[in-house]
Amino acid sequence: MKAKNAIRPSNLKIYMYLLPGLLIYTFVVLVPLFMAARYSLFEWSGGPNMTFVGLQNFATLMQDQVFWKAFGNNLFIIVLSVIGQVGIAFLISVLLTRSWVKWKQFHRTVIFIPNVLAAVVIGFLWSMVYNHDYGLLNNVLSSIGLESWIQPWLDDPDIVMGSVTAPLIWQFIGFYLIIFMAAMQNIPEELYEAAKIDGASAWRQTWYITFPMLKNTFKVTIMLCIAGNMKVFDHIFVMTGGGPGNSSTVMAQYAYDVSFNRFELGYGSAVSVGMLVLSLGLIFISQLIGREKKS
Amino acid sequence: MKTSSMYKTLALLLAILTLGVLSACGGDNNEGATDDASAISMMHYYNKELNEPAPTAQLEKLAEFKGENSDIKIDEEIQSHDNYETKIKTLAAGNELPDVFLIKGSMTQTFADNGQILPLDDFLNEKDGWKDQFVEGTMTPYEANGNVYGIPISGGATHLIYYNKDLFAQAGINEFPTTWDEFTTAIDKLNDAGITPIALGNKGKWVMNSSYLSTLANRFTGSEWFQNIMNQEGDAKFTDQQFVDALSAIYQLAQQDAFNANMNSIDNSEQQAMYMNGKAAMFIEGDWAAGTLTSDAPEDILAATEIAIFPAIEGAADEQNTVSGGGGWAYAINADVSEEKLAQIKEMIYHLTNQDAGKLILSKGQIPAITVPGKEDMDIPVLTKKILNIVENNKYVPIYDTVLAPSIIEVMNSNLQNMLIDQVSPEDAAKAIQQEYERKSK
Repeated sequence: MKAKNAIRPSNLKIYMYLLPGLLIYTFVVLVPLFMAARYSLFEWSGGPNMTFVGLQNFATLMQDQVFWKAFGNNLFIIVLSVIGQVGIAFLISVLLTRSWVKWKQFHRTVIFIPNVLAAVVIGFLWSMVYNHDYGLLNNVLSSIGLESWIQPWLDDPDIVMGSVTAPLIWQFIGFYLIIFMAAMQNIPEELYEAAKIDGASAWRQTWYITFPMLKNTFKVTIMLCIAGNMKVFDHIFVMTGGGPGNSSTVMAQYAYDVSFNRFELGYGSAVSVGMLVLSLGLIFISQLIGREKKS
Repeated sequence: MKTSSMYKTLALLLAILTLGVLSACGGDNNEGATDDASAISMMHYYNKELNEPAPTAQLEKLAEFKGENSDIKIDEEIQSHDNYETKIKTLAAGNELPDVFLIKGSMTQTFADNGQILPLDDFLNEKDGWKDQFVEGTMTPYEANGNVYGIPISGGATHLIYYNKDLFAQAGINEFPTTWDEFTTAIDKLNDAGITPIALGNKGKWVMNSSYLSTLANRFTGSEWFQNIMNQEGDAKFTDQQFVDALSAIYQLAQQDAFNANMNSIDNSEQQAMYMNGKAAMFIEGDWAAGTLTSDAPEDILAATEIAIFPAIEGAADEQNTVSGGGGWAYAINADVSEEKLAQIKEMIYHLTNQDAGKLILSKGQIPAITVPGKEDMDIPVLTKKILNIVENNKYVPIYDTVLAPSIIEVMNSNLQNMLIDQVSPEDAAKAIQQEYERKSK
């Protein structure tokens, strides 16, 4: 008991350490959240005049086609990102544990760099890459003789969602890579040694040891991926502003448009609350699926 | 041992510092508030670096005012143009507007209904003859509930066709079309000659609305129809045939490849760039673009540039000599300012918007909202002269997105984007706009 107390700081100390973070969190996240929930019950254009309308905003939201289309776009990004971000990050992290790969540090750093760039920078960068006349992508395509592949990448509603998802995937691979590499270092070396003695190939080791041992890491990364992509906004805002029309509008963009372009802050808050509910729902479902697999 | 205790002290120090910073922030705010009491807080988007005519003129006038009135303290907050719009709306939502700021016509109704801005009718009458010096129609966007709430700065046209007569000649067109049919034929000819007819950068969604539809639709519907829409009188609807015809005209332009393929992913400065690189024969934007062309375009392009407006449309009922325009941004005053500050603010606004200020704006290449005596003898850029000529020979009609409710504009703009890429028909676009209009009028 006494030894334990010597290491463990007193409760008061713990709370004192937590306090600054908690205070910031309360004012930056919790308070606005409850305020948004309250605003969503009003018809409000900013300023002092507010009319209480009860659940009217949510009734409108249920039938708002643009909102559901935006939700569909979020789902599209999530599915591609789980495959792209988590999948590719896992593959690369497996590669980086192989002994024949040179310059591991270098690869890791380079892959991680996009992560530290601001979303707005990434958005601008990629809208230049996609530019129809001067863009890198179309230039490369035409220089290797694939003129027929040239597209107005951000203007065709059928492909715009793919175009705006690519930078998102590219940016965040590094983030998941670091998580996977850290988790892989926690897998006991003995397991691999035993497998080697049994004659298992590198890929069989990956499939039968690394993969199952990382199950919980996968759950966490997928959850982060869902949560992150439900609130994606800045990249797309910079690249297309939700256009053409509404074809690349995501929920956060829609909440922004409703609140600040249409001045309907009450309904905009309802959209945000809807976003929160749907995100929690998705995360709950993904956790349920993860649990079933276990049993 | 030593290191661990060092870490502990360090961590504690950090924690204390964080708390200190937090409480310091609170303290700063309070201090700021007392400071504000004497200084006038002002927010605008004027950027010296961008070299835009009206904003630069305003900055010079503002500096002049500060020099003459060293006792008046002005606390400026400067944002970029697009950020400014977002920020002012956000501040309005939080009821934390600065003492004096700029509004767009579409903000007037909301801010006025919320009691956040002062009616300025008395102020306009305080200065002798001032009110009558403003060009007719320039104050209309800032009127709400029978009062004027904004003093406009610039008041030019939002629809002007800048065209390159050399490229037109290359395609075998010797003068600018005088009818809509000739206009569409010209577009085919330009396409055949391998020249992009019109450079369009509609990513911001407002270009199609302010610079195309506001003028074009008025040609079809006439001003009376629009007045009925605005006042919710009569049975004017967005689904009326005249309005659908206007949308169809734009739809047809897109169908015959009048625009560049990436029109919805580039913005208005990129459409100017396309034109200045000689890649496109025309672009359609407001008078402010003349300033950019004058300062940035290569000499041969600038020399070949002429200015026109949409030609008359055969069979369209109403007046055809119309151009959308009459007011971009205007000064508004916070309803909560003190008496003493109000007097100072009034002097400042007068200094920034009187005929002297108008003269400065004009000399830099933009059309001011106020009339300027003796402009014939002034040394102004060639393009601006051409624009003045057009503006004086035509009539201003309202710019849609400065007068219609923001939510209708939002629906209209999204549908226009979709219509340009053939995702929605003109009829369905009109229906969607009408639906939003009815929802708002309820």
